[in-house]
Amino acid sequence: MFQLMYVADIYGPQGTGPVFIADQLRLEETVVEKIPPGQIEYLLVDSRVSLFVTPVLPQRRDLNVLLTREVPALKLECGRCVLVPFGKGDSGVRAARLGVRLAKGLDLPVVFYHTTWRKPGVESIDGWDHLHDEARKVAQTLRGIACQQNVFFIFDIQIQAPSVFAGIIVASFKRHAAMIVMARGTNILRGSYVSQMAESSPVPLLILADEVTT
Amino acid sequence: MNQIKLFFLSPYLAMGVVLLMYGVKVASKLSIGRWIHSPMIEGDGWHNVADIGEACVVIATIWFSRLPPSDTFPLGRKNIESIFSVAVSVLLAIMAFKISGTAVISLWNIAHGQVAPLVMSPEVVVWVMGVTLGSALVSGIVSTYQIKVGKRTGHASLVADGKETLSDGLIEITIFLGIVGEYILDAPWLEYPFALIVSVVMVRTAREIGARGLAALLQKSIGIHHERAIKAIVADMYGVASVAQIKTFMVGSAVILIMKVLSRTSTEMSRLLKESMALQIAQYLRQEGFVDGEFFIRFDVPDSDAHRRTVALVCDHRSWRVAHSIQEATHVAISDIAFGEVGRTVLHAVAHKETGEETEEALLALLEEQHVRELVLFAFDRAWNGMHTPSGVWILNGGSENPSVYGLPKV
Repeated sequence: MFQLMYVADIYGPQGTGPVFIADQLRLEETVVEKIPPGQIEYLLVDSRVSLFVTPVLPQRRDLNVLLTREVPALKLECGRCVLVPFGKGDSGVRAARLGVRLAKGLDLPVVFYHTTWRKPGVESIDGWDHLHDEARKVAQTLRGIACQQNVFFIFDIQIQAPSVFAGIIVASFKRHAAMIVMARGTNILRGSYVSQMAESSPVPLLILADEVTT
Repeated sequence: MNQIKLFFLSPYLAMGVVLLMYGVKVASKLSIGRWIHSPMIEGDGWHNVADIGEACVVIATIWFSRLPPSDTFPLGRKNIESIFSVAVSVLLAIMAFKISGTAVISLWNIAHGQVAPLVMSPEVVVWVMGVTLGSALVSGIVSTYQIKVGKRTGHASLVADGKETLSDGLIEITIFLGIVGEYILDAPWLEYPFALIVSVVMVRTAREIGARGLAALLQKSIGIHHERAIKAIVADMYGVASVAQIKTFMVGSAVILIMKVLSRTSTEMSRLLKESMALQIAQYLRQEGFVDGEFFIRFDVPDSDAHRRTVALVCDHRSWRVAHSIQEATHVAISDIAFGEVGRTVLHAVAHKETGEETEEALLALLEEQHVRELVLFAFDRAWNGMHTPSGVWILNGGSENPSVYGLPKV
């Protein structure tokens, strides 16, 4: 999955987590290279085959980053899952493509999480009854991706979480997520959910590289 | 469907059914007892009048325990149910000892030929048997309903009263067996061994109810294994460094949990973590048969392990690298470390003399003066790794020659 994995080389307890986590994610013939955290900003990286494991978020948005913070190791025991939040846009689909493959490699199920507005006049407590048509289409695509990879998956559709950020965090704890996989939306000018999550999520967060648009 | 289920699970409805049962029992036992001149049935009828009073006390207890917490009762008044449970357990124990005592004396008398036969005509016997057996059956059904509702709604008083009703039913079966033994099987001793068994059951029930009530009143922990399990649930969550303190006890049927969690998350994240913890702990407690709970979770930061670290550096033609030995160092960077992160860092030039020994002396003096805990070098003699300087500074092999690995900015 990842042919090359860069690990933030930080001395002391902060640095032991990413090294261990990179080892946990070494699913295939992966080359792991330690580099000082600052050096990643200047490195030529092919985001299709590489991942940067680090406790601090780099400035760059063109590489896949697994943000570990103070986590010493990924919790991958039975009962854990990979959480992929999705909305109405394509970011959920992009995240799912990698998240589902990763879950398959780690032998974990996937939980597709979405929080929806309550539809006026609909009494149902089933989230699906409140789902926006576009989100429904995205859900359909996600189902296809998971089926194609033969990965066990469930949907967690929450009606009106206090905020998207809070909804994702609480769902990740409720579902015992080993990590959250997200991609930035293409048309976000400011305050993406990914940035909010990157700021304070205690759950390891895999942020996909931004898609290059012309 | 849920509305109907909720209706039948109402503790007030359960107690209404109990009152109705005792009303019917009192009316039938008193009227039939007087009609057939049976002091035994009439006496049991008066016993049931006392049970009506007890049922009213249970209703009052439930109402009182359901009053919301206030400034003067911050944890509510649910312990009133525990007081009631202890009272019921004492009454049950007294009743059990009375029954077993009577049974032993009666068996002794039978063994010595001093039998006091029941005086009833055959027509009366049928009525007495019908009333006692019917009463026992109704007691069994109603007590099962009462206990189920009590457990589901978390009313210990309802459960205790249900168990007391069940004991009443067992006593009625004993009376029934006594009559059958004397009038049908010609074995007047038959009821007494059964009475002994019933008294043992009653003592066990009393112990169980009393122990639970006392545990709540004395604020006993809900169990070390439960506390360990809750700790494990919380410690398994990302963002939690450890659980520093956990205390549990019961107030009525509600589990009170006081916990201190060490975590470095932000205030908002702590709130979300708390919410998630509460959900998972509640789920665990429900699985373990607890029906209600109130959690007081507070967050604190773990020990920062604040200390000073020194990286020995060599400045060579304006390029910097980590020194291979103390003698080689031209500078040292002394950093304040907290939570494993590098904070304020100060660069000191080391007086570089001709011989290494003087450099070492100057550097060690500086480290002592600056209260440094560890000194990082690169690729020095491995035998040194983990050793101390004379002033107690750890010498560590950093594993990289690049100063930025140690969190040092470009000089």
